[in-house]
Order: sequence, then C-alpha cells, then structure tokens
Amino acid sequence: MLAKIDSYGLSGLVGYKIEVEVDINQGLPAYDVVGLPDASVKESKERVHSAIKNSLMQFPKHKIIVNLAPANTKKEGPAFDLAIAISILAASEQIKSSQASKYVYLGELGLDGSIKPVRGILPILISAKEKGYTNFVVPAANEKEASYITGINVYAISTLSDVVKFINGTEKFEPIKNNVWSVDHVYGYEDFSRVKGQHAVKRAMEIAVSGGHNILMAGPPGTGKTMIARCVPGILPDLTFDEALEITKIHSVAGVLDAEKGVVTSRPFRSPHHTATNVALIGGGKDAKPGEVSLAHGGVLFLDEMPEYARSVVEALRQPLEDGVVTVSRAAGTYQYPANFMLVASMNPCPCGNYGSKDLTCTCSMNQISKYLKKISGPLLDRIDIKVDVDRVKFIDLKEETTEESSEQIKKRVDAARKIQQQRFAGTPVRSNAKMTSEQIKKYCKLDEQSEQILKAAFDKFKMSARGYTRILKVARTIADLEGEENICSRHVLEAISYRNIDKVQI
Amino acid sequence: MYTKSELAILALDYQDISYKKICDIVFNVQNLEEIFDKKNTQFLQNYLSQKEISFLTEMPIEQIEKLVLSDLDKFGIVAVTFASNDYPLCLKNIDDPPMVLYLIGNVNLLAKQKIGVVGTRKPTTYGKDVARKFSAELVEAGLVTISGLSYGIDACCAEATLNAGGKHIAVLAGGLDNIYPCQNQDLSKQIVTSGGLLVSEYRPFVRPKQYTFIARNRIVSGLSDGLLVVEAGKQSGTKSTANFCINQGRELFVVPGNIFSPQSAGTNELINEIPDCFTISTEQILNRLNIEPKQSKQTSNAQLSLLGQQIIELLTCGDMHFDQIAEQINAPANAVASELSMLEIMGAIHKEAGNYYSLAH
Repeated sequence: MLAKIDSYGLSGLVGYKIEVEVDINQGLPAYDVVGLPDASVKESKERVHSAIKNSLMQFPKHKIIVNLAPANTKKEGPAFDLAIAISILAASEQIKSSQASKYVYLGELGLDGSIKPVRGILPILISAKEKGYTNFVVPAANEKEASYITGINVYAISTLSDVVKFINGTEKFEPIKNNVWSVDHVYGYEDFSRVKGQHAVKRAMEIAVSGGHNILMAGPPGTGKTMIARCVPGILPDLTFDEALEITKIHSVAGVLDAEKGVVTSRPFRSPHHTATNVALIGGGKDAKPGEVSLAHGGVLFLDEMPEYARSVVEALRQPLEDGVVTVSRAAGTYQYPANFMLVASMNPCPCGNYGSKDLTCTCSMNQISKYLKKISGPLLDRIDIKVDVDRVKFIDLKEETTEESSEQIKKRVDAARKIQQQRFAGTPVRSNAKMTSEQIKKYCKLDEQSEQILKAAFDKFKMSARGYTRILKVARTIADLEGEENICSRHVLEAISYRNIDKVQI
Repeated sequence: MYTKSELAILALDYQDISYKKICDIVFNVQNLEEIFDKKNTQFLQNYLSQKEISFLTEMPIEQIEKLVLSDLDKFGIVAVTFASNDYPLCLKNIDDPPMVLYLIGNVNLLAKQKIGVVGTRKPTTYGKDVARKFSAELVEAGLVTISGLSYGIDACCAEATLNAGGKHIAVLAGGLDNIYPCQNQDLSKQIVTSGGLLVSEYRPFVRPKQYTFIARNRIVSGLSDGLLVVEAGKQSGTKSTANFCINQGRELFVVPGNIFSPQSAGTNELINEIPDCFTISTEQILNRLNIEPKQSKQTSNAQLSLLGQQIIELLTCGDMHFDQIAEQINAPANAVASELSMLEIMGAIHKEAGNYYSLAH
C-alpha cells in the first residue's frame, strides 16, 4: 500500500514541506530511501526499524520504498525519522492512514522508540504556519520552543508508541499550551557599578549602545576592556517579541538554544576566541550552520584583541557589518542568515601592550608595532564609529568607595534615546542612528553655523576622510538624542570629535 | 654639469667600491681626472680590481657619465662630492667625511645655520613636547633643523618644523629612492615641498643597514652648528650621535628628564659626564651660538571658555589623563570631552595615547 505523510525541512531559516511517501510491495525484504537523502537520513533505516520493533509493532518484511519529495532537494538530518516510521506504519495499515496524514511530524527516533529533539523547530513551525499547516507532532523535549507560536495545535510526544496511540485514538493527548513571552531583566554578565573610574569609556559605551554604533576600545591589557564589554548587554534596549523570535530561529538552527527556555529572552553576547575560523565566525561548513555573527544578531559581537584574529576572518566581517546579513554558499545553493549586531572590539596598542604607557616600557620594535596595527584593515576601521582609549586606573581609585552609576540607571537613558530613534525611523528598515542612509543623515543631522565651522576645522586638522565626517555626524546625532535635543549643536559635535576613529593606523 | 673630478668619485661610488678605498684614492691622487686615463692603470692597481679599473678606463667618458648619472636624474638627485666646490666646509674637517652627498631639494640649506635635533625612537609625551617646543622656537629664531627622519623625536622635530613654517634637513641611512622608514615617506615629501632638503651618503637602491644608521649620525652632527639631544636611553644610537658631536667639536645641548624614565637615562647621564651641556630653553642654545633671539609672540587666551581655561591651567603642570581632568574640574565626562576636542582643534593641547592630554607649546 502507499502512504503519504507530511514532514518539514529547513533551508537556512526557512522551512519547506517534505512529503514522506512509503510504498510496500511484494518481494524479498528490502528498504530503500530515495529523494537525495544524506548519510543520517540513510541511517534512519536502522533507527526506524528498531524503534518500530521496540514499540511492539511490526516492521514489514517486504520491499519498502521510502521517497522524500520533492526529489531534487537534498534531505539532511535525522528529523524525518518519525515521519518515516509513521508512513511505514500507515502503509502497512498498522495505523489509520487517513488519521495519520492530518499532522506534520518532526522528530528523531531512538532505538527504543523514544522521540529525540531536533533543531530548528521554531523556524519550521513559523514557516509551516505561514503555509497553512496547523497540526503538528513534535518531540516532547521541544515543547518549550514550540509553545511560543500561537494559532496552531502542537502535540509534544515522547515515544513512538504514544504517537500510535494518539493517532489510533486509544489515548487522548492535549495540544501544548501557549507560553507568554517576557523579557529577562538580567543585567548582562557584569554591572557598570562594578567598574571603578573609567568615566570616558563608560560615556563612550553609553553613546555607542544608544545609537547602535560599533566601538573600539584601545589600551594596554588589564585596563578593564573585557569587563566593560561584558557590561554592555545590561544596557542594551529590551528585546521585543518579534526580535526574540528572529534570534531564537537562528539559535535553534545552530543548536545553541536552551531547551529549558525554548526561546531567547535577552540579547545575545557572543565573544568568539581569536583562533575562530572563518566558518565558525561567518557561518557555513557542511551543515551551512549560522556563524558567530548570526548568533550575535540583535545583540553584541565582542572581538577581544582584534589584531589577534586572522586577517581573513576580520575581512570576512565586512559583509555583515555593511549589509546586516551573511550569505553562506554551498554547492546546492546559497542561504542568507541575518547578522545585524553591534560590534565591540578591543585592542592593545602594541604586541606587548605597553606602548604609550606611563609606567611600563614597551619592548616591541617599531616594525612589530607597525605590523600589529596593520592587521586591522582600513575598511574594518571604517565601520567603527567610536574609538576610545583606555588606560590603567590608579590603585587609589580602585580602593576608593565612590559609588558608580549602575547599569540600570544608564539603561534608562539608553532606552529614552532609542525611543526617539524608533519614532524617527518608523516605517523604514533603519532602526538606529548608526545605520542611517545618506538621505537620512542629510535630513536629521543638520548643523548650525558654529558646528559647521568646528567640524570643518577638525576635518582639516585631523585630516579626516569623508567617511570619518559622516561618522561624526551620526555620533553627534546620538549624543543630541541622549540629551533629548532635537537640534545638534556644537558641544555635541565636539564630543563626537573626541571619539573619532583613526582613519589610518598610525603610531 | 659635473666636473671630471666629481664624476670620478661618483663613478667609484657607482661601482660599490668601499668607503675606505674611495678615501684612499681621493687623498692620494693629486688630480682625480686621471683615474679615467688608461696610462694610470698600473698605479690604480694599488687600490682597485681589474674589473673596476676597466670600467673607468675602457669606456668613453660620456658613456660612464650617462650610466652613473641615469639613476640620479631619474630621482631628481643632485650629487655633491668631496671634490666639489660646494662641499660643505663643516664636513671637510670631521673624521671620516662622506665622499658623496646625494641630495633632493633645496641645496642652499647646506650653507645656513643648522641645529640637529635627535632622540629616542620611542619617546614619552614629555620628549615629544620638548622636541616640538624647541623645534618651533629654533625655527622662529631663523635656524634650520636637521635630523634623521627616524620614528620618534626625529619625526617630531620634522613635523614641528614644518608646522612652524620652517625648513628641515633630513639625513637618511639609505638611498633616496625609497625612504626608510616607509611610514615617514609622506613626511619626506612634505619636507622637500616646503623648501627643505633630503641628504644621503648612499646612492639610490642602497638599502639601510645597521652600520649605515650610525654612519648617518656622524653627518647629522657634522652638518650642525649644534646638536640638541632630547631623550635618549642608556645605550642608544642617540648617544653615539652625541659622541660624534663632541669629537667634531660642535656644541652639545642636552635636555634633562624624569629620573625614573628609561628614556631620560641616557640624557641625564650625558649631562653628568659632559660639562656645560645642560639645556632647558631655546635662549640657552641661541646664546651659546651667538644668535639674536627674536621677539616672542603673545598667545591670547581670550577665546577660551571658562572650562577651557581651567583645563589649560591644569595641564601646565604636566600631562593628565581624561579621568583626572574630569575629577579635578568636577565636570561630567561629556562636557570635558567637548572642551578637550575644542582645545585640540585650536591647537592648544595635544591628545596622546591612553587618553592623556598635554599642552602644546
């Protein structure tokens, strides 16, 4: 007999339907899978076989053909195990075919018949819902993740035999309840109140986060650059549900989603080690998985000691920084993953870290310093709007019992500035000042005469490039927003100039 | 353009003949033109190999001239040899005078009054301030500055000279076709366009080596009427330049420094060892060289805001970190940042590494 059961596959972050057809014919026992299955799908034979047997059902001793349609796309991963098993059971009339075909099945099978969780449940459900599918059977372990989609019936079941009982009607199962999503107000990994002194850097960070500007901290080791970077998630604006879904999709596909939570509730903070390869950072590889830049989507990507990263890796950041997406190419086609993040980078002034320091001597040769600084290419520097120097805090300052502002207080100001930008850019794809188009810069960053003069003087004195000029305008706009000012005036421009980035790396 | 005697030295240098051999020939041959004459072959065998002699005697002199001068013309280089009329007098009497000086730019500067400004390649903020202050003031007094275009103090001096509208001479340790260090290539071009001069003892395509740097220092000192040492480590190339200065009988001026700073260990030592070189003002230099100081300009502080004036006052005691400034003035970070930017644009202060600020002199 012939049975047709629905499952779903993922291409990047978009799901597409897969029809699992099973035909059982007379002949010597055989089992073949067609439809461009990959290795794990081919191996499903053994899993399905044992799972069916150990669920006290019959594995047909005939010629079994499994077809995964459409025939011209590669099928990957073990998520179709359940659908294949159901289809076989339906084809061998061990379950009611008409009842079974009402659902979309997702799940990997264990040899004992248990249903194991799969990646990408959320993006699959979202895509399937869009196409009009409303009834799903998913692994019990994925229940949390699936609970955030409204308007569909999801049955989270833990064993194959339970699914059979469900389809045959011998036991009743309820669809899972929807969960209400809420933001997690955990203030990042560190709180700004624990950072003593460093007022210039904190101020720069507040501006960077408010306007979504990429920021570079330069200074010797041990000056608190990493600690300050870890404070950033605590002052980022609260996630919206839509953003959370977007981020959860990516994390689910990459397999880093916390199954307990099932959804992302705060902005991601990713800090890949500098031995990270191109693939790890940008994405790709055999499974075309999203890379760190996509995992940081909607959050922060922290590159500690940026010159230590391989040149090719740093160059590969250009596309995501420019477009907010990464294109991952494979033989079968290209996927696009979103990669809109805030870049926080740190660097030492030289390989030994002491160049320019008051108390410690630099042991590097000029050649070493020059080589080290050259590793940060011009085009990457170009996309960093704010640069701030960090130096050691005197011991006295560390000991003093001054109260520093908490992240919560800083976040209030950031939120207010972000709100202004939300209203300003409503209806456009732009969400923050850093991403303004040249049209928008012309419209929103008009300068009064005094500011014009100051900016021109700075342009000449510091030999800025045109790009440097626009960066200052954007940062000045954010500074004015933080003050609640509609018009940019000279003090905003002057402060923005103090965070100017170096156009050319110089000693 | 060049006399036969001048051409003789250039032709010797062109063949990469060692400095010592060229010296021997120049000091032992009465009439240098004669090295082109075939009948002097036997005599020349005392100094040169057969191949080298053939180059000089076998070809017609026009052809030798063409070969030797082609690279020089290509780069716009003028050569002044030991045999030339305009060979600087100040170099004639030093130990090991250079046999050739390859020049790009304003050759007339060789006859002017010059002060060498040298120091460490990794100066502190203090060192840079000192170099800038002295360079600007020396320029104002009408002097030409001369240095080695290295990183650090040398480059500081060149920049400060250009900013003050003065003229600078840079003596390089390699051929003038490819400036070393390449970071200072733009600076070298500016030096030429502003009426300055690039000098080298080495013809085009000769790369700098460790010994050429030391050799170059004797020319920096040799061309100067006096040498100002700004910052130097304990055993440094700068100290060797100071030694040349003393041996050549020039005036030595050394600026003292922080006793804890390694970059002042050398300069403080020099002050201890050499009598009368302690220098803390340009007036002292001008006095020792018998030059009239010009009237000092009045800098008006009238345009500064209240906050700006407070900051300037704080910085007169030395450089300060951003956080310290903010604390002392008791102003929020953004106000301090704006004001510091303004002062920087006006040229009243400098921003240094690590977010430190210092007064510009």
